[in-house]
Amino acid sequence: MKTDEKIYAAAIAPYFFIMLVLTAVPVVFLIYISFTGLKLTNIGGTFSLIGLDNFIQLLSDQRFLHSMWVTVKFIVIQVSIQLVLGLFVALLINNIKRGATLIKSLFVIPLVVPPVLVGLIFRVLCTPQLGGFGWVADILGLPQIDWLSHPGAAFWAVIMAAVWVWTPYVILMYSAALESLPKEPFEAARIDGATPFQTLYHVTLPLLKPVTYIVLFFRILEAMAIFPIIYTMTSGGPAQATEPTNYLVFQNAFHYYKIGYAAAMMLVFFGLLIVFNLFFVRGIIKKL
Amino acid sequence: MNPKFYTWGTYALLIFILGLAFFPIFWLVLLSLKTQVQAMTYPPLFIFKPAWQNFVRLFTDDSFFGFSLLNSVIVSLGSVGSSLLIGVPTSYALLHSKFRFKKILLSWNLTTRMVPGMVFIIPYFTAYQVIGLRDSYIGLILIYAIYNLPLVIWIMVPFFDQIPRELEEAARVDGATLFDAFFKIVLPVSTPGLITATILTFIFSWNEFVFAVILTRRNAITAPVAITKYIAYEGLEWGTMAAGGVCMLIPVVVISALIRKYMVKGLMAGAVKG
Repeated sequence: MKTDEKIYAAAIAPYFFIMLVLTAVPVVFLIYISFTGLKLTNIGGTFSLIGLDNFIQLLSDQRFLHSMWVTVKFIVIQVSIQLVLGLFVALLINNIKRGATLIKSLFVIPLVVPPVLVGLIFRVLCTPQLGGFGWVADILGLPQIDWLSHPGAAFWAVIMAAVWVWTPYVILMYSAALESLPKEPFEAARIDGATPFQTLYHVTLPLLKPVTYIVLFFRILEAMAIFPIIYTMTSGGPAQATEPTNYLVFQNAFHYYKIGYAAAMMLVFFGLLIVFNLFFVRGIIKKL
Repeated sequence: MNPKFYTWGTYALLIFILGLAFFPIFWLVLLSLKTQVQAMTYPPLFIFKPAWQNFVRLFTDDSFFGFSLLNSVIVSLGSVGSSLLIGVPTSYALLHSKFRFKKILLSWNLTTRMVPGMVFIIPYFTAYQVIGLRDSYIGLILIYAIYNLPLVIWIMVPFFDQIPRELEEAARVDGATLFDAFFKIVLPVSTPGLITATILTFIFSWNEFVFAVILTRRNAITAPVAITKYIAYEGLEWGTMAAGGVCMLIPVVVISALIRKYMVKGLMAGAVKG
């Protein structure tokens, strides 16, 4: 069996080196770039180090700080809605006997639509001249909103798109979890005469804690990387109302051509992401 | 509460919510068949003469979008092929070897997929500019590998783990080599896993936008990027743009429909969308 190990090593080695080159090296390169004043127009020239200038500039960059706030808003609002809605629908699915599999596979669709397209579709729906939400509002007697021209409304338009895409993910996760829950606690609750709400609050939710943490974790991570929807719907506007840090990095690098500065911003953002990760994971492990 | 009411109420509610989920797509399909005039009519038209020329125009006018679709196919298939080629054997090897750094590699795997794309885009773009990989198929396939390779491993390792060792060991006792055992016994049994891996890597590569929009220009421009050009130029030709969207959507929806079983399981394997 010794030769087995050699063969395994031969199989793993290419992967190891590929991952090294594809992921570790670029990150190191990113760190290096963040200490330079690299401009898009200057690539190929010398990358001269300018020390901590980029990072110092970040501290007083209002637009950067605003974008961090937008990021937090996006994440908190979006994920809360997705969790509540997702759980609700999963509970519904859990209650029916026939057709659950079909319904679940239908809910997969929003998850596989290209994100660009999601942005485009919702942009179309938010454009008054093309009907869409405006038409629905008319039928329901609700006021017409010019979604994409007002900062506040645009923010909610993007939230809507994000909720549309990702709630199915939450639905599927909770649905799988619900199916695998043990029956005994529910039997006990029924025998004790608990109402549906009491069962939900005292039995179901606590049992779903592990899944909730997992879902929270992945949702928050992914929400930090939101991009195509914003690119196609609002380009970060109006007035940077929908400009999270992820998008601002893009703007800095590829619209303002300040790659060095963008790299620094991305590093800081990424650093905060890692810190969040560590705290979150540690907090979960303690609770489980 | 009457149980029957509960059940019917639940179904009704679910169908309503499904309707909400499908409404945007329905709207897209409708829009793809409207002319500019029909699109701007209010109240919106639901019954009208379909403007098939929207679709034709995608491929004939300057065949720009058709070209981008072809690029998407090339890049996606290339990504799938290369990821499976490297990822599948690696998964098996990682699982069964006693490599000291196994755990580190596996968690490295997981963490890479959780990093926002922007972290990689800046160094890749800069490097590609210098070595001339910008706007190329290889360039895209390489950067997609960051997500696709770990994805394949993430899917295949549990699948391989489920295969009883006795199966492989019986073959080895009978004199088969490791390779024989792998190709003739392990692989056929793990077909569901392979299918899931194929589908998910294809969908990721097909839908991917962030890397594509920054790294491609004219030669390797993929469909997701091309469709945004319809907003910039063309004076907002909504119908044609929507037709492009439908073309982009069809492969993904068809695949998902055909392989429904695997989709749900695969998506829950923590697959993160690009």
